[in-house]
Amino acid sequence: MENRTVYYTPAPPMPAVLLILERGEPLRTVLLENSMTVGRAAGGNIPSIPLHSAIAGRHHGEFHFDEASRSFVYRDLNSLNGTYYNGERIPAKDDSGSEPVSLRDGDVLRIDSTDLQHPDAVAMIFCTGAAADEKWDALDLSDKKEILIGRTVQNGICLHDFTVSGTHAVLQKSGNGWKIADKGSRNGLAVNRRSIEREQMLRPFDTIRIGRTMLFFSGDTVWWQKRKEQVYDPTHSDILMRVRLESVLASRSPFTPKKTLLRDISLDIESGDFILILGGAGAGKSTFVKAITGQLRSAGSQLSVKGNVELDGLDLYQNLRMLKSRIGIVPQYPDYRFDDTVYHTIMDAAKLALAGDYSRKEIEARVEDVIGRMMLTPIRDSKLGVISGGQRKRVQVAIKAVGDTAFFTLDEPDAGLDVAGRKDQMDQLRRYISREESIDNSAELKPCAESGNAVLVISHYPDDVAHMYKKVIVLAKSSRDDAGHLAYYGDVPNALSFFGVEKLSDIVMEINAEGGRGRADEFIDRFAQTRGGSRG
Amino acid sequence: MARSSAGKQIPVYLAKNYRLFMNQRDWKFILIAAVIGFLVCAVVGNDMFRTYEDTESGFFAIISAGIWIGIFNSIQTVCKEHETIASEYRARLHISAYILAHIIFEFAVCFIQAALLTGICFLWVDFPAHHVLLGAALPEYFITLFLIVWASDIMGLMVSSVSSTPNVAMTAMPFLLILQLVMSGVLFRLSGWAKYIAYITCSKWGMSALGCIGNLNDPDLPLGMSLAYPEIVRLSFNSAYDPTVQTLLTAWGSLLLICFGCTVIAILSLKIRNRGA
Repeated sequence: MENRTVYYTPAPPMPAVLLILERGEPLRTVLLENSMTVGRAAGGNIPSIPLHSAIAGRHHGEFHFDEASRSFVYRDLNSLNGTYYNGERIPAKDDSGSEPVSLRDGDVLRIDSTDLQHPDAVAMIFCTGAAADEKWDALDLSDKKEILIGRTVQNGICLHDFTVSGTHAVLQKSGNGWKIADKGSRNGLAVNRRSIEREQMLRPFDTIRIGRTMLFFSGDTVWWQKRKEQVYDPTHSDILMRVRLESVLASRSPFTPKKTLLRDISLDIESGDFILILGGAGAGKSTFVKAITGQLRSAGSQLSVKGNVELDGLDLYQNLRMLKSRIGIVPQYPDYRFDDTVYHTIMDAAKLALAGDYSRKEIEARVEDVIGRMMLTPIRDSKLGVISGGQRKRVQVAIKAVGDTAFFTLDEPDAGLDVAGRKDQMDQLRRYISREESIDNSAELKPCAESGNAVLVISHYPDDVAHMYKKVIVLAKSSRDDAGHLAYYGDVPNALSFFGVEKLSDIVMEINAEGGRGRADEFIDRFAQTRGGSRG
Repeated sequence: MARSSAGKQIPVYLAKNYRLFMNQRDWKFILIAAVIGFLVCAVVGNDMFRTYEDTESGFFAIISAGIWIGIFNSIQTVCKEHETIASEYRARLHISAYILAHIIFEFAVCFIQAALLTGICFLWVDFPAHHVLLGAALPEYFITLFLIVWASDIMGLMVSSVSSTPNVAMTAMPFLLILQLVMSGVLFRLSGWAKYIAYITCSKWGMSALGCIGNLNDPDLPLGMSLAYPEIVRLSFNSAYDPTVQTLLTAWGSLLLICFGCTVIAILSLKIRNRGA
């Protein structure tokens, strides 16, 4: 499946660095650039990334930036000892080298022996969102037995990250090795991108994900990024969610045949995105939202997904328990209690999300902040049953936003409002969720430094606020297989020219079979072709 | 990985239940309990403790009122907020904390309702001083009525958890009430499988407890026919009404077991319902 960006111009990708660990050498960080070679520096051969290890080849491998996938890839150049990608040797493809492997945050490339225990092994950890000159903290474990990891300063490893619990995890000496255990954290932890339930023994060069912070374990040292706070950089493209769905099938029971609802949907959602989903009846908008938010059971049907969805670099389905609190689903129906007040509804949501990790004072401050930003202050003591539909929708968003949600889906947040109300509603939602805020309540918006959430909106009134959407996803039901396909993914101006319409709402008319022009297959094929795929 | 513990979430939901109780004016249920108690006593009061049948019927009416009050307290509590529960479950809600908070809160409501019901009964009906365990009849009647109301309340909570909508729950309610009334053993003599089903009803154990405290097996408590024909005497006694500590504790314990069983089913059903949320 291709996911080439065709119809929008993304910001440059986040800088990526390679952390290099060699025996007897201090940790090195190298800023990755397009076309860099890695190998042993010997004689006149000076590769872009020189290594000292005797088991590294002179022309061991190369990195380059792949424009199609907008990610760095690595290729082993048929080196004698080969390269291990996350513990698996990269197989040779032809005389020129191996198939390129796409690199993601936390991937580990090793030059090592087959048992992965060679004393001269080299580990190269791929890391995005870090600068080459960024300081990395290290903790030597040689004389330690137990290290606590958490947000508070009492911990041996203190991480400045809102999503990290006060005391999140513990590293414990176990025999000759070390194990890591969850200390009842809110968001859990993952080792090598897989969440762990209780504890796990660590192997050298394992990567540990705690909150949004990456740590790696070299056997006798733990390394982590030394940063004050995770900040969003709107000038760079940071992929928050990768969607690679081959198909989504639904069945009502194990005995009924599965029906394919969606097929071949591949796209990347970036931090700061405000995306509209359009589609005709039965195109699979709701199914798509369910599939990418991990809701695989609904309305008596069981969904099964072929493909994968990654949130923050972690597989959603493998780490669902860990990641579901990062996803805020704002449904069309009320999921609140009409007879409770706005303040108590948000406060209780905050207590569910944060209690045990944050003091009452901190929780109250966060609730007040959310109430203020969502313009709910005048109605904070009103019951939800007596406020307007638009205000209720903002309360629903506030309930999700008070925790550490990074990805929101809003199902018709503007339903039941007049034109002015819809514009105001969407403006306020976008402003808060994508964390852009007005400095002095003026019309001028200033991106907030801590921004970085992404929002997916299903709306039947797309034209009122078309200028606000950064991108549009168009799903269309193909007459060939009766399943929903991706007919467009890109920005709004390109969407209008792609479909040859003047308004976003006309797109639905173009693709709808019933009551429309029924051109779904044509646009599905055209979009697949522009991405480099072949169809039709 | 852990969410904030269930113990920490219980106070959050207790406070929420209290707010909703006040905001929704659910305190009306307490007044309704008093009115029902008053009506029942007005009907049965004069005849109770005169004959065996009248006393048994009187106890049965009081128990039926208690069961109705309990089930009515909670039958719509959970089913009307399934969407909210699903949303909160996604945001780290412990289902056990949610149900336990309801049960604790309903404990307080049922306590007041049982106190009112007992008080009205004692004001209206001349209860005999016979007691079994606690040295006085009043606390024993109160505890029994409280357990009947509370167990029925939790049973209502269970039905509400299993029901998908308030309509479904309200449709199930009459069946639940009829089952309770039929299985008390007062209206019909139970045999075969019905005898076993009766073990999971509040009415059977409520009748056993009240019959034990009220000493329904007292040979001096005449049958109705004995009033006209004094030569007719009771030859058989219902062992469920034996005025012993064991009978009373078995009845109370069984009511508590019903509370426990319904709690477990309520929690499991909500967990199953929300497993894909």
